[in-house]
Amino acid sequence: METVKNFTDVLLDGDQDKAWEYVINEVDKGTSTKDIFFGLLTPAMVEIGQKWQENEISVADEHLATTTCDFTLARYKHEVLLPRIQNKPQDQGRALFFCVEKEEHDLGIRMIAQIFEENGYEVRLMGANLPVEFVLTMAVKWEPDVIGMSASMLKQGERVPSYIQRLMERFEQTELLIGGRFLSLPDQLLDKADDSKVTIIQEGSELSAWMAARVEGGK
Amino acid sequence: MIHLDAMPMPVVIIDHALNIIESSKKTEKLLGHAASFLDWVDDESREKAVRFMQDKHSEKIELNLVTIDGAISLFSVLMTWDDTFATVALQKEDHRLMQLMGKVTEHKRRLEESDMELILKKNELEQSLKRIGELSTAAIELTDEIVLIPLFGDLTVALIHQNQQRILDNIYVKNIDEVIIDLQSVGVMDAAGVEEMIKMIKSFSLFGTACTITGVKPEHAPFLHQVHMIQKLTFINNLEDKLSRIVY
Repeated sequence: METVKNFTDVLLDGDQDKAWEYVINEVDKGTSTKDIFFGLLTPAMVEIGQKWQENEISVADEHLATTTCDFTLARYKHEVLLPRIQNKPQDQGRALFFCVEKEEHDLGIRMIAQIFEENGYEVRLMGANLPVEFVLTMAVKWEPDVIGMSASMLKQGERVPSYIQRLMERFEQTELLIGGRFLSLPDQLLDKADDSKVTIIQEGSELSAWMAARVEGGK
Repeated sequence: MIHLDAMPMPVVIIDHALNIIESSKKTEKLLGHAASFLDWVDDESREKAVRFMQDKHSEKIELNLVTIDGAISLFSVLMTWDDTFATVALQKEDHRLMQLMGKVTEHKRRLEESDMELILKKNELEQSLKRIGELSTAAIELTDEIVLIPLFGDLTVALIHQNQQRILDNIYVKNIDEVIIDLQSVGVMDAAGVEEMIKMIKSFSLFGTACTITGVKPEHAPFLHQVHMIQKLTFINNLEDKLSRIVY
């Protein structure tokens, strides 16, 4: 897709204004938040990771692109999302999101958090690199209905099963969502059919299906 | 030829199959002893290493290497190739960068934590505020027939809404003849709040309960002109007089 390629270059240039133009252009065309996040931002960042693998760019370039994308997301929240959900009830439940310990790739979980907000959830985003103790403390205090965790690197993905175990022991009724790039790596070992309270989300469509099922099931 | 150990940075000699021929002391101290260069490369960087070192003799690539303490670190790998070997210099890239990123993450974490604390405090405050609102309109029974309702705080729609039902129930159940609303401790009022209060007073009159308003301050006056329209409503300027009439 030509737009994705151009957007990728804009991110690599660190051109925040230009990046925003692409996004607002999609908003004006009526493109949904999910389609912008999964169809523009995500493929661009995947492309950037690929470019590093191809020895075309350095990690410094990657950092610049990440910051630019992060800024675009923050702007999306304030200029598009918040006005859209203003005065709408946040009655779909509470959702807590974070990246597992040592995982610094938090763009994905930031996008997910915004999608939940737009869908009427009360959302807390704890960001990158969150040790399980922090999650437990926060979950005890805030009592979320949904906890979503993300890992990108294979090594960090190895921590996910222990997070699931610790959280399931403590919060039997809480829905757990697992996402992130590590799921697509060949060596990852997470058992797919673990429990009815644990859902693995790899594609945007899986998230939509999960949300729809939850609304139908009366939360 | 200069001895490898004399080099100011970790250096290693490899062959075209990436087997390690010789490595400097600095290298072994950093990455440990290995047979193949690939043994030092993090799983997710291995494909890149093969492509740009073995298949194609690049001069510079970035790779994630696993150091002797098990940590994954970013290195710039600089290479000079000849017919059989390559001299490889390793430059740890991420030390300063990671330190900086670590600091940034720390700040971010702190902000997120305080954000979370603020949210929890906000929940608590909202609860307290609601409770205060309820307590702000106590219904004091002066006699069996007369109730005094001193309003505290700002006269807003919310204040009336929070308390209306409780007050009306009270008046209905106890068969109250007269309600005295004291505005002395009301700070700010707005038109919508006054309108809501009027509705409440009209509801009193449906039960046959008369209403007296006292404690009006000069700044309240402009808002209260319309209130005169209601029957069974009187204004008095001094609660004391009224009370003395009740008592005697």
